[in-house]
Amino acid sequence: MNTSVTSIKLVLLGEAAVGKSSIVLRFVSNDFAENKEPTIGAAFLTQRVTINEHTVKFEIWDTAGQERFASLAPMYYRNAQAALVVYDVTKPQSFIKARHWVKELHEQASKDIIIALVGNKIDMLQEGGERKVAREEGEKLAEEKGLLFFETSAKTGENVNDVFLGIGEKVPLKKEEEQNNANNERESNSKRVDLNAANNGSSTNNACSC
Amino acid sequence: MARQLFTPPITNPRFDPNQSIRESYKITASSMHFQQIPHEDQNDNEKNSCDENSTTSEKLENDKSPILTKQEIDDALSEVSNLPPELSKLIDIFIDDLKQPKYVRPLSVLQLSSLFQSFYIKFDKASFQHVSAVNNSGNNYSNGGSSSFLAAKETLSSGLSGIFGRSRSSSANSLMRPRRSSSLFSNESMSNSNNATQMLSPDEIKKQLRINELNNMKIEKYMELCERDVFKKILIVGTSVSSPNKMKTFKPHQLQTFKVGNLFRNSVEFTEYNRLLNEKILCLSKLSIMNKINLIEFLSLNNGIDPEPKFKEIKEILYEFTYHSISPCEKIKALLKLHEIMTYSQEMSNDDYLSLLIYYIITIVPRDIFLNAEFIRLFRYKKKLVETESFALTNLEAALVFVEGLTKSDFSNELQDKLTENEGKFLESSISSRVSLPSKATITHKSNGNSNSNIGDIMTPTIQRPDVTRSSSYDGFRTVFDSSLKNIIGKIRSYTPPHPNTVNGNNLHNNNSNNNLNIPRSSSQLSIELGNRDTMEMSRDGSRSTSSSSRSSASLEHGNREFTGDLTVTASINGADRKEFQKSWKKYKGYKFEDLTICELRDLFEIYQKMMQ
Repeated sequence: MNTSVTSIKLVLLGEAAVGKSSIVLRFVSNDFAENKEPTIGAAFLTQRVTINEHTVKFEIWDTAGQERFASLAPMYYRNAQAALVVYDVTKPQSFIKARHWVKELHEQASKDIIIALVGNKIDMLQEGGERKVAREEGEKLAEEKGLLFFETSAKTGENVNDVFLGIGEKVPLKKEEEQNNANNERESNSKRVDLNAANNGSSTNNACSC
Repeated sequence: MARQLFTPPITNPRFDPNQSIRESYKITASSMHFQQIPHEDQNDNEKNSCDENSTTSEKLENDKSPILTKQEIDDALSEVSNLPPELSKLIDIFIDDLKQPKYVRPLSVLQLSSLFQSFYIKFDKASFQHVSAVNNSGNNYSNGGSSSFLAAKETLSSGLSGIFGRSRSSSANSLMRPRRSSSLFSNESMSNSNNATQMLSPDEIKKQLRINELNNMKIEKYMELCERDVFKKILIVGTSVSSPNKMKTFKPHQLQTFKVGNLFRNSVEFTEYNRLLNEKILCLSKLSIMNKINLIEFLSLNNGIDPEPKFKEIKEILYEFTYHSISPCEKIKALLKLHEIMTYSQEMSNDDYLSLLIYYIITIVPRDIFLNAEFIRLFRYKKKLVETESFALTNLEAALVFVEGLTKSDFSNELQDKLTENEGKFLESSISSRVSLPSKATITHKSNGNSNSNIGDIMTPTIQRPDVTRSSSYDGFRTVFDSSLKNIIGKIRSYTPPHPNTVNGNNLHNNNSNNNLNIPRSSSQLSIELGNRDTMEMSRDGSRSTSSSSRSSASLEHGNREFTGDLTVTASINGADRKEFQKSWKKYKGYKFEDLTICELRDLFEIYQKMMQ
């Protein structure tokens, strides 16, 4: 009944108006529609997903897409375990920006960060919009850089949940993580200075230093 | 607390398995009553002041625990408006300890933060023990005439409650604190743990969970009260130390109003950064008032967003944040309120969040907002600074970073011509290029794993000190030479006879490289710090213009003298001499040993000799 919960900090990156917030709203409000006010901003939202009897709790950090704030992004993706890099399939420029984000994340974010590349707004293709970023392009980039790849529509909800499920499945489970933590702990303990020993040592030093 | 756990205490010879089974399977409808009794007892003791309970964090908590009704939570938490005496005492001890004149040099804010974080962890544990103890004693009371079997169970239950209580509900925390998450309820232990848990019916487990939930909330409340009380107490007692060796230098009138700046007084980089940022925000604000810049346009707030309707509300909150709140948890609450107001607006898309925040900061000009943000970062209990709190704080920090980075070139040429000389100066360069703050990475306190070992070593936290490389290379030699030189300089500049006990402290620090966290317990410690600062300056030399470097180093120097207040000059050196003297030893600051000529080495040696006199 009470499965362990793994928390994942997930950060949304992508050019302005590619639909970052909409994706989150679609993902989160699917399950929580009755609890959320319709006007809520999606700046920070959490959502729990159960994957194979394991609960993953996404803590979703939205970022401002404006170019001028791009340099502030590291403050947001610091310690993030996952990132969604979103672009708009009808805007080639947004795909170029997505490439930059992927590069930056690989260089500056946590080493094991799970990145999902998401081409959004595929609903527009059915409504007569012209596709400007081929699916293959996205797939290729994802393959090169080891990313998850999805094409979604936040409007219709298509594929949105799959993005998060995909990330959830790749996340190291709590059990492993705990072990890692335990290891770290042991390491840090062994690195810890033995206070008593230090005291003894320095007291002899002290005796002759003055 | 673990009243429902009628499990066999195998090691106890007096254990009666029959009774255990009877107990385990009887209808336990009355169990909750047992739990309520201690709460009510406490109620009487503690209902002397009331405190608002509806905080954002608690609201979040409510969402997370569907097994509790709002009513129950309110009931449980309304009782907790003050800390119980035994917990209050911990705060007193901590403050008293802080005020002990045990440090030769004033503590930097990072060191202080580290002490506080250790204290929070200790307090967290103590609260947990307190809550468990209260529950247990309540149970005893209600079962007044119970058999020895119950007493035996009591021992067991406190053991188990230890495990139960540690499965905190907020999962983010359990990630951070592995020990607490190793609960009986975690996946693996549910299925294959010993028979103890198998004897619980789902109902009982549910009840146990409810109790844990309530206890956890209580502990959280205690933590909040702890932060509030610690800083209130600091406000009352002041922060000066009753000895010649001052921990901080406070003037009496400052005790009336708590300024976060006080805590940062010994960390010149922070205060300097803050001052520059204050000036910059003020300058931008003036420019905006004089219509030299159009903020709304500049921040691209022009797509239908009108910041005005909420202006007053936001202003109040920002004032609350900077001026009228004391503890980090009060401040973060104000920030969360701000966050809420801003995100719950219909017209705002998330892309405008930062722009809007920057707009408010520039138009409202909350003083020392940077120090307030850093104050939360450093003095809020790290375990609690997660999720929305962390997000809201990050947004504020990001907004401030954006502002500090603004320069003339970000504005139109038209504006650049219109700027007065003074304004131009403020917008000359980014603040971060002038003052580099001590790395935040180094202040991450190790609250994760070794929390147990932190109990009791509150005055010897895991303060880290720079790693002095010892090698046979030039570099190594230079380091040794440098530090011995600086050791002497340090002695001249602020010689205070080391307290026999404090010298021991020198070796107490963890061996982590490259940071500024060193508790200045004796004069020899100074050498490390000086060396450290020097490294910082050298690195700046490498990356930035010499002028800015020397300026900031001068200001650091100045600040250092200003803020420590206990620097003494040896009688043999008078003021003018000293100045020249300082100039002479400083002139080799950026030099590398291998670049020195023999003449320069001789010069250095002469300086050295002078110092020795």
